[in-house]
Amino acid sequence: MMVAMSVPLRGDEGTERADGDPLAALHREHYRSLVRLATLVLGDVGLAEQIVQDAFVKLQLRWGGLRRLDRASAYLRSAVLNGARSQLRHHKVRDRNLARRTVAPAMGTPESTLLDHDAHDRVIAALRALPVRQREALALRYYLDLSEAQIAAAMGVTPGSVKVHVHRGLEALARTLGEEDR
Amino acid sequence: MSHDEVADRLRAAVTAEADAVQPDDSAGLATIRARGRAARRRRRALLAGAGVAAALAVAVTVPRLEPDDERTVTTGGPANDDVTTTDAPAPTAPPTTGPGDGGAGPSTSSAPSPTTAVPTPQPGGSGDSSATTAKPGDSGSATFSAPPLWPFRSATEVDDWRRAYQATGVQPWHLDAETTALGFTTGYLAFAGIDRIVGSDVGATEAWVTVGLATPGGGVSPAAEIHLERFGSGDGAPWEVVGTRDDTLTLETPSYGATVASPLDVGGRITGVDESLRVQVRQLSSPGLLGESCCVPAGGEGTPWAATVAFSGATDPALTVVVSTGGHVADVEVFAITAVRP
Repeated sequence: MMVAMSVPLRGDEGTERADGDPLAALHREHYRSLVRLATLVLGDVGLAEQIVQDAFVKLQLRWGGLRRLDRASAYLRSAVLNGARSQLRHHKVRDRNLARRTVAPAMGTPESTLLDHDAHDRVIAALRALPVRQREALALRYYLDLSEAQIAAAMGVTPGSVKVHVHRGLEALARTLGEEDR
Repeated sequence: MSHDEVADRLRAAVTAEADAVQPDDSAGLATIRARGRAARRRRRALLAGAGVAAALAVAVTVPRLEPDDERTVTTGGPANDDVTTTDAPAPTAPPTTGPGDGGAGPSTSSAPSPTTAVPTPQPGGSGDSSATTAKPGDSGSATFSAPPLWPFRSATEVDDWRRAYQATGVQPWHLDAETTALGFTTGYLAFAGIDRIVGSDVGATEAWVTVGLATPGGGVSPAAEIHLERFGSGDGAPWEVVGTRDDTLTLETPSYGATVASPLDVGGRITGVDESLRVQVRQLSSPGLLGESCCVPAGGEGTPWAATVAFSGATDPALTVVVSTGGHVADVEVFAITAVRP
């Protein structure tokens, strides 16, 4: 039977797509962005890939229990964030990865690009120094462009909590980056 | 700097950082499919039914879950579903050496025994002292914030064992998280079939050990992921069981560390088919159960379950509440625990 489902990409909920292989469709639409999201939270590409794969495997095992396949993307985001949080809690990868870059800078870039890289690095370093909930909320908001309701669903909190996490995260970043700019 | 400015810089930075990550999409999908197949095979093997006929049927129709089979689907680091097995140390051949141990200990040294609920730390610690406060005059400095479930009840017991271990090498298995986890399941909980290590993640101060059972098809099925913490500081601090990390069967009520009284309302969620839940209340100082409730029918996908269990005789600083299910291929196939205070 052909399965019709919504496979929202980076927050564009409502995109309809018919595909005979829903797992492949979900993977095609979300795998890369979820790995990138987990990398932003964790700072470790290898761990991020592992966590995203774990989320897809769990989704396969619960396939029959998902009454609405259009919720698969929300399930995946939530599973990835839970996995990332678990990794942070139990392996303390945050501390380990604050000390080293996980993505090699581009080689042979012009001066302007190097300056951009430096500015980005400082923002990413400041982001990774935030409490994990604030980091998650900011990554979901400013990388995946999710709404407050979508972020709340992914994080398992209320939209009001999302506002608080985003506000406090931006406050902390403004403070850190403002001091560095002086 | 305004929030809008920060937001603009953040958006540009996370986009640049994320775009630099180039995961191998095709390898990811292949790995996911393979791991999903392996996990489903494990589930089928577990649900295939008990008895010789069922076991034979499983052996013929279900691919065997050899460790090599699992390893072929592993990429990018250890995966939760990958199964590598380590047989539990046989009760008749306990570990006799440990870090700093010059050889076999005295006759009191032993591995956690499946027939002994309480391997007594040497020499005789008291069971009524707080786990977080050493008594005046204690030479040790063991501290512990979680409810101590097994094998120590108090900092005093830990200090007693550490002194004895340094003097005679007694009970070196306290320094091995995996052996401690197996001792907890086969000895304290009396789940004799949960006798092997499926995987472990042992850190400096805490450990996660997945224990499991052999299935009729020749594979291994995980039963629980046991959480242990060092009771005290340093490499010489022994491991203490503090809880489990649960997925298919959870125990959410009462909350961890809650103060409880009998009768106790217990509940959580379960994913499974035709399950029968058994809830028990135990304490380290009692060889038998303080209370038991059986058999609660359950099943479904993340379906809530609930039970009430009456118990009596609680005297230890922490009690273990354990819920288990089984009956398909073994008496106990999955379990979860929580710690409460009487």
